[in-house]
Parts: sequence; structure tokens; C-alpha cells
Amino acid sequence: MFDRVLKKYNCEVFVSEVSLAEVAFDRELNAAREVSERGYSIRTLSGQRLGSASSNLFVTNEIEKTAEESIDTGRCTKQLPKSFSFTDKMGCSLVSGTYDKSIDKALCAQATEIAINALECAEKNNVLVTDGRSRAVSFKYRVMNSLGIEKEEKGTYLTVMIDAKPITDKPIAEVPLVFRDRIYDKKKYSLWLNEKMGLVSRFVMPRKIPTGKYDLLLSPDVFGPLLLDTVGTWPSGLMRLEGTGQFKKTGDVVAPNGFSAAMDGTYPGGLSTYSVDFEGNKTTKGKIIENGVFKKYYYDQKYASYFNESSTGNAMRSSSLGAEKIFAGTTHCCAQNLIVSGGAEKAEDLLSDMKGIFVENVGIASADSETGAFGFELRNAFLVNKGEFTPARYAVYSGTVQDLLKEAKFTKETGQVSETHESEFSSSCVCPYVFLEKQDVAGATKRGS
Amino acid sequence: MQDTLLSAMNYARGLGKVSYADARTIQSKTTSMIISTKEEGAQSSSSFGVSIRVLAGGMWGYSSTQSKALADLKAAVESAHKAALVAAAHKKEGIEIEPRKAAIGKARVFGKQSFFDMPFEERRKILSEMVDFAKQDKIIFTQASASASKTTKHFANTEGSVIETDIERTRAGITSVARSAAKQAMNYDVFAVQGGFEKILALGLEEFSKSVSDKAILFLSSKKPPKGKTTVLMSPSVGGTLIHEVFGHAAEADWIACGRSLLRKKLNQKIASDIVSIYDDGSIPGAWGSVYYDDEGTQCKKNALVENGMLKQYMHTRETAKKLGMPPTGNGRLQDFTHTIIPRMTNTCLEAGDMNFEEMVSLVKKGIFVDRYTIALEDPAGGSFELKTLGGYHIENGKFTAPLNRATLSSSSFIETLSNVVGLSKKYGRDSSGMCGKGHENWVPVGNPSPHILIKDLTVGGV
Repeated sequence: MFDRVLKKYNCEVFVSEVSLAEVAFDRELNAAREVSERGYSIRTLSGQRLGSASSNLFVTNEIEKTAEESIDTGRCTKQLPKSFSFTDKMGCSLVSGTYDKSIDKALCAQATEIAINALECAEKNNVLVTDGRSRAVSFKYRVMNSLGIEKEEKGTYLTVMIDAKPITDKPIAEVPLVFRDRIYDKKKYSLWLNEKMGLVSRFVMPRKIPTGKYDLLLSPDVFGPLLLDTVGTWPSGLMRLEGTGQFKKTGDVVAPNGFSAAMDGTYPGGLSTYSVDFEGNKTTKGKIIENGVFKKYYYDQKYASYFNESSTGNAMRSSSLGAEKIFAGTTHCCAQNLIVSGGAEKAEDLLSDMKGIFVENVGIASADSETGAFGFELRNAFLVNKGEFTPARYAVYSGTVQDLLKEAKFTKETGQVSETHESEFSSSCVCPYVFLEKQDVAGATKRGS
Repeated sequence: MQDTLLSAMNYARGLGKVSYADARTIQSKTTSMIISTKEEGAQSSSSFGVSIRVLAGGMWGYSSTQSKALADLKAAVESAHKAALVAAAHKKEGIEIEPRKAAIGKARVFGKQSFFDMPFEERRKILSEMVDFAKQDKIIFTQASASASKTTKHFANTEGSVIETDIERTRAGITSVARSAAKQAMNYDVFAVQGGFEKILALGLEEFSKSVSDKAILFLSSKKPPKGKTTVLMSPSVGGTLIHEVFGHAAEADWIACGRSLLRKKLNQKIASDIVSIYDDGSIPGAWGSVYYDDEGTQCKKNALVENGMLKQYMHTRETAKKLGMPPTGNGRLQDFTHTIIPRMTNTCLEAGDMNFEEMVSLVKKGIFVDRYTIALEDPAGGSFELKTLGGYHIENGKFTAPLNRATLSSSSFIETLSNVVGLSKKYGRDSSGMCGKGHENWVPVGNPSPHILIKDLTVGGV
């Protein structure tokens, strides 16, 4: 279908087909949708100018029109370095990835089953689900270009997103719970459900946290997004070109000795693991920080060309509009799985000894990718006093990721978190819990009041 | 196309346990361009799809197709029907909607100078000028962007309604990053309108671009916010976002119906100070969040939600209206043809007050003025909220003093926050019109017109 444009233009064609079943629920099931969308994006290179256009209409004249629009969009942009071209890297076979046939075969039935399991577990724990979505996704994408490259990736995702709270008339914040995996492991899902619903059931009558200095233990759900926005973003070719990241050059000390992080698009079980990236390059694994020293940047084809480097297989497409719209997202240089090494501490030991706050969830876990600054509401936290846990909230904790890393101790245990919930195609971070001593927390009341 | 949709609806009527069905075609086109001090990029996209919704066995089933052929639409109807029945087997309480007469409607909004029709050379010239306007000493990076979308929808249902809407939206934005020896700071601004690019040009792009860089440079010398409970004066952009997040989401009727919102059972009760009146209106001509007819074919109108601090109404789909025994309000919206319809805001407006801005500043003995926001999150069940701001000023003894660093605003109760509103300006400013996601996705354009707001006792933290 695309032979004609591949011959006529110097171009790359990305075709995606995403099938998705989603069940919406709260106290019970509310709506089920089963949809699929096919679409394609054509990137053209003409006079070293890169253009891009996408469509979901698979008819010959529309494909031709989309290619011409792509040429048009590129016509007025700056020329890319001469070294830029679409990938010519062979040596990666068609079709691999993390794929679960049982999900693909019965999307709606799987989504319904995991929703019902969630509701049953909630009932058992005296928990009310206020908003829930269970989603089974099967996807396929193919990258072809005029240099004769043709590669295909196939995979599955299972996602459950739940907002839940203990059953009570009191105003209690919901606890957001997200389970995402590439395959359906019933045992793993069941263990996760029981643990999380148990946690929600404990979050009754939270105390207001007074302003003051506290020892803090942040969960991977809180720490991971902060790392992705900073340590995971600053080594990108894009930030190197813009000059706006906080990592200036390789060899600089950017974190304390002992802090190491890798960018890994091949990580087994990773939520952002693909065998080929969205430009058709093989994904790779590389240390970006080793014992506090910045080791290397990561690239897609475009940003690699600005620095005479090779792509590290970090071209991604994402769409906040949902996984099925992946073809319409722009290709960009992006983190896949950011793997942060754990430390020597045991979370259990820290919690049994500490007098402070354990932060399970916050309002918006994000940091500013230019400055590293963050600030969030401690939404689901516990005041901890030598092993005793009291639900607590209504306070703001802020700082910068750079300062946080200087003062942090890390646990052995790690957890994995996705950057966004909207689309399955997003970066992920595997990181430990982080312990911080004597941090300023702004509360709704003064300490002692 | 509408004849095909009506034929598909006739087909749906004949399937088992179907009490209602509707269908909508959504054809959209977007075009965008970004120019920064380092690189340039442009993109266009087009898509077409049909969303089918079937109410069968008391359960909604959704399906979609990218085809216009009746046979494919019928297959999508069957798929939606099947999805509804699979899940209906596990449902205790069936969904119902109030039947109504067939409606016919049409709405079109186009600009005089469409961004689509502007040659790429002209687009590039305008954005390059914006980047140049924003260049200043200490500014290390600037990026200007502009985009436009045209969305055409045809709607039909089993009641015989036929609606057509055709809407063009245009946006422009600029981001600047400033750096000093000790610090780096970022600022951005976005202007979003319904209609064409002439409205963007009328804004005055030189002033718009320069002011973003001026503030980024100002933030280099900003000082950390006070910690704990503080009096906060908000710009219309931050104030509109606050009303949208703390009140708007809590007044969406699906969250009322499932017991998620603290506004449940609070109709005709006081939930805000006397000076607070809020309405939602999807019919304001040319406003960013206007849709004129919602995605269930209900005509939009002005709905008073809060009058002088008293809660008067929620925002409904046909389903929630039936469930709560109230009339639909025209707030049933979906992101696109693969998504579901839920109650969503359109343009949620806070009525203006009677104060001058200077008068509001003079009332603050010790507090902060927040000018821009970055992100915000509601908590309708717990009552709190989180609003991250980018900068502003410290206020002491009624006067602006040092520039303010990033601050995070929160509160233990949004009802308490709305009750702590002590002043509203006479004038509206440019609001924070943009895209809003609800729950886990489902992005739609929304507008939040607001005056300046003065609120006491917000919890503030920051670096």
C-alpha cells in the first residue's frame, strides 16, 4: 500500500494498529468499549528538511496526499545536519516484543474480568471504588523507509486504574492505584490488588500534618516520576541541543557517589521495552550515570545527527490522547525504562525506626524539567512513629531533585512506575524508596496546634 | 453521511435489548508549527472515525469504525451491542435515559484568516518574529508555537435527531528559559481561541512574546514563598484554573451519582462566600470551550451552578440527569470517536466582582500574588486540591515586593477555600483556556473565564 510513496519520496512510514477494550466502573460496571484504530505517519526528507503528516485514511490518494503534506510542512523548516538520514540499520528481525496471546484473543473479556476482580477485592476490604478503568491493549507497529528497512513490533498491555477510598461519609482523599503489565499474570495482579486495597482500607480519618521538619520516606510511585522528569530527561539529545538541561557535559559529577542510573529499552518486564524503536532502530541499554558521574547522552536519529553520534534507539511516539492515537504523535527523543540502582537500606527497617512521614502517594508527582524544582501535596501519607502508622495529609513538600539526591538514602526494594496513565506508550522508571532526613514540610496547621 | 448514520441507527433499533443508540462521525484536521532558537518543526494530521454507542440490557456499549460504509457501521453497531451485553451480565442496576423528541441543529465557527490557509512561509515568519521578540540578555532558549484544528461532527440517534457542528480552534504559545550564574528559570504563555489566526494577531505578538521573557528573567531573582497558611491574590489565569479544578470537577454529575463528590446532597446549600457566582455555558459564541451542541445532541445553554455562594445545579449527561431526576445540561462530551461520553465542563465562568486590582493588592498585609500556573489537580472526594504556580510577587503591607518563586497551593477543604474568597475584580483577564483531562484520560477543550481572586488561608509551599 505504501510502495508508491516509499519509491517516490525519501520517506519513512510508521503504521500502527491498536485494538483496545476498556471497562469503566465505580460501584459496578458502567460502560464497555471495544475499539481499534489504524493510522500512519509519513516523515519525508527533502533538501535535508524533515516534514511530518499523519492520517487514518487508508486509500491510495489519501496516502499520496499525506506524503505531499509532509513535504509541505518540511519545506519551511531549517535544514537538518547533512548526517541526518532515516535509519539504514539492518540486523533486527521482524516481530518480537512482549506479547500475551491470551490478552489479544479476548480483549473485552479480559478487561471485564480484571474489573470484576478489582470490585470483589474492594468489597472484601470495605473499600469504595469511585472511578475505575480496566484496559486490555494489543498493538502492532511497522516502520518502513525508502532505504529498504522494514521492521515490525507487536505487543500487549494490561492496565487497571482505580481511585478508591474506605467506605465512610467523611471527606477522605481517594488513593490512586495503577497496575500496568505487559502480560496477564493472574497471581501477580491478585497480590497487587490485595496489598493495595488493604492500604486503602487503612486510610481512615487522616490527621492534618503540621508545618515542621520531618524525616521522609517517599515511595517509588512518588520518586519515579521526579526522576523521569529530570535524571531521565536531561541526558536526552533534545536537552543537549536546547542547552536547557541540568547535565552540562559527560564526566561531570551530577549526583552523589553511589548513585547510578541506566537507560534501558531492552529491560525484561519493562513497561517501555520494545525490540525496535519508533524509527526502526534496535533499542539499547546504557549507563547514563555511574557513581554520580554523568556518562552519556541518548539519541534518536535526528538529535544524534546534530552531534555526529549514532541513534541509541530512543525514538518514541507518545500521545496523551490514548494508545490508539500513537501514529499521530510526533517522533521524539525520549526515555524508555530508566533503571535506578537500589541502595543498602531495607524499607521495613527504615519504617520501624523512623519518626516522620511515609509518603505513599501525592497529588501530582512531577518536577520541572528545566530547573529540577518540584512541589506537591502529600495526599496519601502516614505519620510514622517507631512502627506505628497514622494516616495523614494536607501538607506540601517542595525542593529540587538535585538537592534531594544529595541527601538521600535508597532502599534495596524497587518498584516500577509509568510516566503517564493516558497512553500505554510512555516512559517508565524502576527505582527504590528514598529516605530523607529533616525536610521542611508546609502544613495546614502549626506544629503542636 | 447523516442518512447512513440514521440507517445504522435503524439497524440498532432491531437488535435485542436495545433501548437507545446514537452515532457520530468525527472528522478532524490539525496543523502545527514550532520554531525555537535551536530548531524548527511542522506537522499536520487528519483523521476520520465513527463512534457508535448502544444502550442494551441497561449497559452502554461503545464501538468505532474508520469506515463510512453502512455495512461497516452495522458491524460496529453489533460490536457495541455485544460489548454492552458482555458487561451487562455483571451489572446490578440498569442505566436509563429519559426519551425525548427528535432535534435538528447546526453550528459553525470559522475565522476570517484560517491558520490552515496561511502559507508555511508566512507561518514561519510570524513564529520567527515571536522568537526574536523574546530574545533578550540572559534568555538562553525560546520556543514559539502555533496550531489549529478543524473538527466536523455529524450526530444521529434512534430518536431521529440530526445535528451537525463545524468548529475551528487556533492556539499560539511561547516559552522562554532564562539563566544566571546561580539559577535557571522558565516561563510560558498560551493564547487559545475559537476561530482564526486573526484573533491571535490581534493580541499583539511582540508584547506577548517579550513579556514571557521579561518574567522568566524576573524569576531569576525570585524568592521562596512563605510556608503554611497564606493570603493569595490570583491572576485570572490561576483563578480560572482554581474554579475549574476545585469546584468544576466536583459539580460533574457522574461523580455526584457515584458518591465521589463532596457536593453531593449540597444543592441549595451554601458552599462559597456570598460574592461567588459560577455558571457553565457551552453556547458562548467564539469561546474556546463552546460546543453549541454536546455529543449527545443536547443544545448547550447557560447553566447557573452557584448563585451568591449557593449551589444550584450540577453538570449532566442524559444518563446522570435521569439518575438524579434533573434536566440534561448539555455537558455530555467525548474526546474523539474511540472514547466514551461523560459529563464535562465547557466554559466554566466565575462572575466578576466590584473591586479594582490595586484595591485588592492594598488589602493584603502579608501574602503572595500568583500570576501563572503549570498544572493543577482536583480531589472532589477528599476536598483538597493542588495547584502549582510558576511565579508572581510577594505582597507586604499592600505593595508588591520581591518576585515570587514557584509555589504549590493547597487546602484541606475546597468548600472552605471557596468560602474564603474575599475579593473579586471588576475586570476579566485572559484566562487559562486549554485542554482538560478527566480521571484517566478523555481530553476536551475547556474555557475558564475569571476575574482576579483574593483568597485567605491557603496552604502554600515552595522552593
